Amino acid sequence: MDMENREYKSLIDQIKDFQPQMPEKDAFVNQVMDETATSAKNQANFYSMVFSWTKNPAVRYSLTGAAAAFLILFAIQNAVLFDRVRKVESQISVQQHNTAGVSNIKASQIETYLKKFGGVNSFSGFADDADIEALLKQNMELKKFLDNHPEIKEMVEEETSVYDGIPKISL
Amino acid sequence: MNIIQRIKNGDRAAFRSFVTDTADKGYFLALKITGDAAEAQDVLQDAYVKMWEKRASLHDNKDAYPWLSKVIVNKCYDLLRKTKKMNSVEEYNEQALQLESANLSHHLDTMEMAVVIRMLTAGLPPKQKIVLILSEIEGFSNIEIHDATGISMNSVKTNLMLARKKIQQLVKNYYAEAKS
Repeated sequence: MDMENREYKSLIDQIKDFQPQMPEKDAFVNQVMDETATSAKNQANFYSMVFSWTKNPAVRYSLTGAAAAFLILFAIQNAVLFDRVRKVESQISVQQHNTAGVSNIKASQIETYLKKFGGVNSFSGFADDADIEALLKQNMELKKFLDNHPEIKEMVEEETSVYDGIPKISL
Repeated sequence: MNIIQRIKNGDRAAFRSFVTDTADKGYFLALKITGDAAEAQDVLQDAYVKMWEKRASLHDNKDAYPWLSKVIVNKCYDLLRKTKKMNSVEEYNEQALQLESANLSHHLDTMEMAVVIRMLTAGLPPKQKIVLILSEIEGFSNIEIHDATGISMNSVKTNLMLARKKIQQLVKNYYAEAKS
């Protein structure tokens, strides 16, 4: 072993053999005991607040289980609803007339389409009152048209109720 | 019933006894890594609180200090990464001078020894620093270092090799200067 390694080893051994002593250890130990007592108290307070009306562990476990099951079902329901909305969105389309001909645009793309061609900046934040008025007017006209043509309205309702992956309705 | 079983049963006197017995070692471990007395105390306190909260998961017939030391190492490593603590050797010039006057062959107190280690590891990046301290001084195996810090095994080996080289050079320079 060369000199360099011997010195390194000797220093590491000296550090390894060192017997440390924590300054003000008693105060530190007391502080830890206080801290753990507070943390245990906080945990107990939370449970006693939620279940203050019963001390029966069976009731507490059942309620905790029911709450967890409810949360899981809620998450599944949200996922199913989201999937349905996505399917209906894909089913409805609008027609864009331009010099190249007529092309269909799916509802999920309508916002982009309006931004590009319709002068509406966003569904969530319209540029001004005129945009909202125009959209409401358009909506009223569509409603009026469907009320006057119940057979089309019925068809729209029927067609959008079953999804087979192919967009069918042109508004 | 041993001390761990008593702690698991919520015996606070047993826990106090465990804290009293292990505080010196735990504090020195945290001090070696963080290099700061206040930070070392905070880390150690957090580790004991965590141990108390998770006491149900302790093994009945095993010493709880290795478990505690892993928590300390993990918390210190998080701290090092957050603060990107890598002090330059120059910052420790003053402490190095104290060290030379103290002379390593004499008895050093905990803070002086911490200064020695800080001086040694001052120029190392956090990964090399923690790997060196755990392997060379604490006697952790590479797997234990990986478990405690999440650093991959290959990275543990590489960083240990690099850190050793740098420290050996530093020690060589120190003794050369001391002799001249």
